[in-house]
Amino acid sequence: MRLCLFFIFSLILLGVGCSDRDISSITIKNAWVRQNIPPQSVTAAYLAIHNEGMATALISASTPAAEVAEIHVITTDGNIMRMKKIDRLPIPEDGSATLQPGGNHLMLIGLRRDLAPGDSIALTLTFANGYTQTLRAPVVSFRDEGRR
Amino acid sequence: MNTIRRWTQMGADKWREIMGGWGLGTGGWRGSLCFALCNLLLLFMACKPLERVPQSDPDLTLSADPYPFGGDLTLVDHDGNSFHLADHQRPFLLFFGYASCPDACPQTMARLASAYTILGEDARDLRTLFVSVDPKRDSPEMLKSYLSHFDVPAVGLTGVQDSIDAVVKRYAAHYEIGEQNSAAGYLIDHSLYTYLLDQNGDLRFFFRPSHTAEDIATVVRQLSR
Repeated sequence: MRLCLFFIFSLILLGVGCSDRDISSITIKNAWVRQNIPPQSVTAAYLAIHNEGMATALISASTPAAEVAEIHVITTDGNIMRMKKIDRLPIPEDGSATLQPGGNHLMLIGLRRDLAPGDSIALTLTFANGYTQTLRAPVVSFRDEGRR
Repeated sequence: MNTIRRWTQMGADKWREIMGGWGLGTGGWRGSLCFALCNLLLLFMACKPLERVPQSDPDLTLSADPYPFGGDLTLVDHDGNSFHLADHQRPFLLFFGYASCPDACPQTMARLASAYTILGEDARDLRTLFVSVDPKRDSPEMLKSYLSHFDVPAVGLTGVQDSIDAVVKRYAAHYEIGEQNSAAGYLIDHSLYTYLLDQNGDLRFFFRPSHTAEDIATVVRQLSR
């Protein structure tokens, strides 16, 4: 009986250990959002997701600054760029996913206010493994973006 | 075809010479294999120029001759006036986009703004043409307001669908309504070249999204030489 309990306890610990490893394994860097162009109430946000755990996926994004945040992937077919809304962006095991201009991005739709350089927005990302992180993304001007 | 035949024949002779020297005469299977491979290679080289896709010079040199497409266009500018390219004797950068484009278009405009800064006085005559492929949503006023947010002397161009389509075709560009399930309504997939037209309206260079502001400045400077 004692052995059995010990075994169950070990399993629980192992489970906690594993999920802990996954949850703490995601780091998000270099988040920024492009200033919008009034009256356009759309813009895009970019960031780099690093994963040191098991494969997972980004399943949603939200911000109080916009009604909707969609995950968009870009495929370039010769000279044509195709943009698609997706429900999950796979993040490979011990890998990363980079959202950058001209590539995959978060599209913010229905901005509740104009985003001007110097401003920043809160961005909440939710992953398939249950991990959620809220971070602040500074608003970058076209001038600074052109120099990147 | 005669040229290819001549080249392959030359290739065969050359190979016989080389292989013969190594004791690999054409009678042996290795010789035949080499001969066949050599012919394939030559055939490939000879056919390569046939699949001519619009490709700008990778070494950032302005094309000496105009490309066989691009050229004059007539659309409506962002003040609601008719715009004929031929009426303007100045160089232009031109690209296709739409005002509610979240990623590629502002990125291109930001890069062009940076190129203008690098060029300084060298860009005094250079104007940018933003040709909308979304006439339903992009009115002249909308384009004017949109373009005023960038440090780029730009003219927004729009028009009826047929006029826009004619320009797109003339510039060997492409666009289509893409994702329609977005909360933003429809998105438009479109080609990403930025075209450089000289003062005669001739197309002299294509910039790809991978070209930096520095690259753009380097090529534009060659126009004034």
